[in-house]
Amino acid sequence: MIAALRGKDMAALEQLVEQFGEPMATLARSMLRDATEAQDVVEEALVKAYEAGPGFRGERGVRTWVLRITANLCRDRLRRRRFTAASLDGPVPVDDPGLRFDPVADWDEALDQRVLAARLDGAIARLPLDQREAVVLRHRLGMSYEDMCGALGVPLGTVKSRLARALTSLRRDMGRGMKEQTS
Amino acid sequence: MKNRDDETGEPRWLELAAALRADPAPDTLARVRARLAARATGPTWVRWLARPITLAVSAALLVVSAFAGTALLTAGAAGADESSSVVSAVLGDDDSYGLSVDRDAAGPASPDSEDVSL
Repeated sequence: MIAALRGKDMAALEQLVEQFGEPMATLARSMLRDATEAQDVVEEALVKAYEAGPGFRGERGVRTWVLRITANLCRDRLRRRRFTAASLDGPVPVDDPGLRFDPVADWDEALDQRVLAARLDGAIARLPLDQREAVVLRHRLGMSYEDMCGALGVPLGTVKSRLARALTSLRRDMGRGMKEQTS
Repeated sequence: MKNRDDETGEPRWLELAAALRADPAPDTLARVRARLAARATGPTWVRWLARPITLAVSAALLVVSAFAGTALLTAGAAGADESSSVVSAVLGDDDSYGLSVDRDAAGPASPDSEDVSL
C-alpha cells in the first residue's frame, strides 16, 4: 500500500477506505458528534492522504498517519465551530443510524450493555477536547501509546496524563450510573 | 462480575467505549474520487495561488513593501522638515531672512532702535 500511496495510485485510495475507513469515521464521529460533518472530514482526510502520499515516510504506519490527518481536521472543525455556532456536543443515542453497536463479549448480563455504552458515550462527549481525543484513540480504537503519540503529535507523558485525567472524570461521571444499574 | 476494575486498574465499563463504532458512507470512495476530480479541473491560477511557495513569496513581498513604504515615508518627512525650515528662514521667522547672521558679532544695536527721549 505504501508504494501505491507514494505513486498516487488510485488503488491506494481504495485500500485506505477499506482498511481505515471505519477507524477514521469512528474517530471523526466521536469527536464531532455530527454524522454529516464526520463524513465530510473522512472524505477530506482521504483526499489529503492521497495527495500527500508521495511524501509519506512511513515512520509510524499508515493507520497512525491517516488518523493523525483525521484528528487534525476534527480539531480544525471544532475550533471553527466556536466562532460560527453553538457547540453541537451532546450525548448521541445508541440507536443513531450512523453508529454501530458491537456488544462486548463475556459481559455480565445483569448490566445492560447498551445503556452503559450510551452513558459512557455521553460521558466521553463531555470531556475536554484533548482528553476526549485520547480516550477515543486508546479505548475506542485500541491504539497503543506509541501510536497515540504519533497520531496526536504529543510526547508519551502528555498522552498518559490526558488519559489519567480523562479516566478520573469518567469514573466520577459513570459512578452514578453504575450505582443506578447495580441497585 | 465484569464491571469491576481489571488488573490494569481500569474499570471494566471502559471496554464499552469500543462498543460504539461508526462506518463511513458506502459511497465514500466515489465521493473522494469526485473531490479529487473537481480539484484537478479547477482553475490553474487558483491552484498556483494556493501553493505554499506562492504564499511564502507573497508574505515576503508584503513585509518588504511594508519596510520600503515606512522608509519612504520617513525620508519624505525629513525632506518636508528641511524645506519648511528654508521657507521659515526666508520669511524671517528666525530673524535671519535667509542670511547667516551672527548676533554677537553684529555689534551694538542701532540708535534708531533705542528708546527715544523727548
